Amino acid sequence: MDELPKSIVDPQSDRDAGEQPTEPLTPWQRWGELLIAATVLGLGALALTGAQDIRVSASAVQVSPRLIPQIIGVGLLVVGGWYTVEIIRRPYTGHGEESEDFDPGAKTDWTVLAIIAAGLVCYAILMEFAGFVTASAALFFISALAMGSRSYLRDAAIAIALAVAIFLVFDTWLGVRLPTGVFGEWLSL
Amino acid sequence: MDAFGNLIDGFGVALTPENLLFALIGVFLGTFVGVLPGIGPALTVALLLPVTYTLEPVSAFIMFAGIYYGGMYGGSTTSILLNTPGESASIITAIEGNQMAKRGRGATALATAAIGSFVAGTIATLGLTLVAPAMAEIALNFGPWEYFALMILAFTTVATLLGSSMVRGLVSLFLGLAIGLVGIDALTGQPRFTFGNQHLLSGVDVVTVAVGLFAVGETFWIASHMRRDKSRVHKVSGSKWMTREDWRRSWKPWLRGTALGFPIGSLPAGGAEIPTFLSYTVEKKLTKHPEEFGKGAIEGVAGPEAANNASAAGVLVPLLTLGLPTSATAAIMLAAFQRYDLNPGPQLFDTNPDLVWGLIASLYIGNLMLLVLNLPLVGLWVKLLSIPRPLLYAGILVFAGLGTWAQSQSVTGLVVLYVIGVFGYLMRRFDVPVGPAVVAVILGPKAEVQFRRALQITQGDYTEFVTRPISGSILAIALLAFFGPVIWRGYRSRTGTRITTA
Repeated sequence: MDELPKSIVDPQSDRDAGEQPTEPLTPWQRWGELLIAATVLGLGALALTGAQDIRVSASAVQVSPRLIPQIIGVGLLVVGGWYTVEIIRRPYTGHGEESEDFDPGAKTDWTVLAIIAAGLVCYAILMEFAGFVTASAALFFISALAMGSRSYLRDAAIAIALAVAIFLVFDTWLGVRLPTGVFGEWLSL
Repeated sequence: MDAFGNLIDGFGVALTPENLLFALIGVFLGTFVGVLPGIGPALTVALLLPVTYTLEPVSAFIMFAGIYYGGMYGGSTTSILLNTPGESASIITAIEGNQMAKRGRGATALATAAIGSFVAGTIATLGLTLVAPAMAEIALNFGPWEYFALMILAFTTVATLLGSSMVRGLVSLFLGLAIGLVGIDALTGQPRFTFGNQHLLSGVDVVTVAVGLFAVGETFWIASHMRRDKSRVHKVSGSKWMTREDWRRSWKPWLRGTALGFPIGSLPAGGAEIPTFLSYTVEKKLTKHPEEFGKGAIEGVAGPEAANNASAAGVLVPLLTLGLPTSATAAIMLAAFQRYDLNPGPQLFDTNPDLVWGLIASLYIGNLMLLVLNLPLVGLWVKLLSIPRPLLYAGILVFAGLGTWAQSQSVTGLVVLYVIGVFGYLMRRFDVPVGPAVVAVILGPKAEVQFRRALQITQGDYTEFVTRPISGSILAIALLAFFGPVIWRGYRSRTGTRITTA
């Protein structure tokens, strides 16, 4: 699978290298966008095969319930293919819009993303077992830490205060049920 | 007039002390969340949805109207002072408004945006009052063919008119359509694409998709490229509100922006972006101060902001009368209706007049509240802009989780949210617009139902879609919207090469 796009991409970038003053694409720039296209193609295949599992009733009056999934499946394959061609011909080389929060010159910071991802996994695991308050406070603290906040005590205090406040407003006051976990007994007082 | 009689009844509903309070809470929360950097109107509405879950429908939608308009106001404050447009319709405001703020005219930019939004919002709500009942009347004659054709038109315009390239818009659209397939087949009742997971039987909710793409994806994006030096919020104090000269230069752009925003917004085709861009172009052409454009021209804030708000009211026309969302924000509003088992469409005006007219009346009230709330209280909102970014985005993640949990009550919902969030990050990185995906998630299944219903009536005869005059013409327009840009580009590049070779 890996060989096909590479053999198409490489001669192209070699040919353009002489004319383009811009720096060569990083592997991430090249493969990241193809990842989107590959997912679109994969979803197309999934929609077509999954459509076969839908039962079709004997009565011919109804339109086959497989039809729309099949149309969308074919659409995904066509669009995915078109996108792949587009990426190979004209890869997106932009770096995003500059703003006060966003630094387009900065390299993608994968460590930050990995820690936040760990925080999110923590959140999903803690939610049912330890309750909304614990899970939210942990997620808040971990992701603030990941993004460079170093006021540990302040962050921990805000994390707990925010989580408790959300719980009181939504669960206790507005009646949107949230998991209580270990805090069940004294939060529901 | 009938519409005004209904509107007066609507004010009767909206002006009760309780509902006034809900409207006030709505505009306050909407502005509060909308001001936060990185949160656009669509995400504001999605994140605040749980607040309305346990209210009576009428009160919920009155509050919702406030949140909708409040989110728009808040978003323009952020764009002007921080240059972080929460969504593409605010990009223009961010350009000129932020330049004004850099030159110490932040308060003036905020004032012309706020007053312009009020003027445009009020005129456009008046337009909504007049147009919506007429549109609902026409839509009563629509069958599944016409609805299906309208949805196809919405799909094509939303996907092809937004974003940097057509194929990226279509990628987004089809990702949304694919997500929309998950759940129970509406006509045969059997599960499909649920992979045996009972939590997926009810499908992937559009709120989860919007929160995943806008909140989680955006947080990943900013967190991985965070600016390390101190954030520079432009000060508002020191500069004056609008001078006589500012008024003189603002009122015409406000009206022109409204004239562009409302009609285009109320078409059953996508987008608040187009009127704002058009308004900017028009103002740039008509101004007596062309040298100021790009360096903080007040017309460049007044016009597009008015167009943006007018089209926000316009978008409610197809949403309320046809059940057709043409923006990400409208898609989330439609989800809110469905939560109460209400189906926006022509029948809604007959079955729930209290709700529809109470909602429209509270748009007038909310607009007035926002003007009062925004001009004197702007100092309070500006303080929100200096929240340390790590805490802000950590908070956004917590609220994203809350919104999803309140909706799905399952870990599956959270997993779906994160997967969509990773995709949101990739789409953000490679300039794939996310709006079409959000609209497709909710509109895809609706289009499928209309399509199959239509074919059941005609017993499998497809020609009816084309031979019925209204559905046929709408499909023709959709086809034109799809192929028009391609042909136009081809024509231009051909004439372009001819010029260069000549």
